[in-house]
Amino acid sequence: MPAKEKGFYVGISNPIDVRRNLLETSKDIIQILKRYESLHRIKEEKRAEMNKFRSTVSEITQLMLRLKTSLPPVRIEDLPRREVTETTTRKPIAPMAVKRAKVSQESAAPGSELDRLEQELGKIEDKLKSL
Amino acid sequence: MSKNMPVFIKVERYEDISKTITKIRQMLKDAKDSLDKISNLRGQEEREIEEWNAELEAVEERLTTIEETLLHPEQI
Repeated sequence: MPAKEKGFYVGISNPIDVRRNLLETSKDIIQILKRYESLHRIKEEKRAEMNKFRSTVSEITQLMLRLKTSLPPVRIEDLPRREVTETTTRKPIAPMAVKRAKVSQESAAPGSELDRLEQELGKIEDKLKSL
Repeated sequence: MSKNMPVFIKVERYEDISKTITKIRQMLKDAKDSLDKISNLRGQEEREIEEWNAELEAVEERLTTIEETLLHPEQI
């Protein structure tokens, strides 16, 4: 049988201050909860804005692709080069060796979006190097 | 010195390209606006967390006072 706890009294010399402290602590706790709600709202707003940003960037990517396909499919390395000298005269333009840009048929291994972007970056860098 | 030969494109495609570029420019502006908003929200978030921290510290301080009053009255 548990022993009955004996009563213990503590004298509080400034009860109003203690009461005020307790009430203010309760007030602060409610403020903290309120702030949690506010922070939650900000996070939601941020998430929505990030989704919007992602879709805008994805649309830009599509438009860039459209822009790329609007341009004649020319492989830069196949273009004839002309020597520019001080005495160059205007000559008829040589017909360009236009080749259909080979659409990469490599079936990319199913990977994450990051892998796909890495591959795309690699391709662009290769093209830049060949310029 | 060598220079690439010029490339000519059909006028109808030129118009397409012009429209696409205008659209890309608009989308870039939208993306910039979105980024500005995200940056603002992040600032708000940081300020909220700072204030949260300050409030928690205030609660901690008040609790210490209450604890001292109730549990160690001889120290007061």
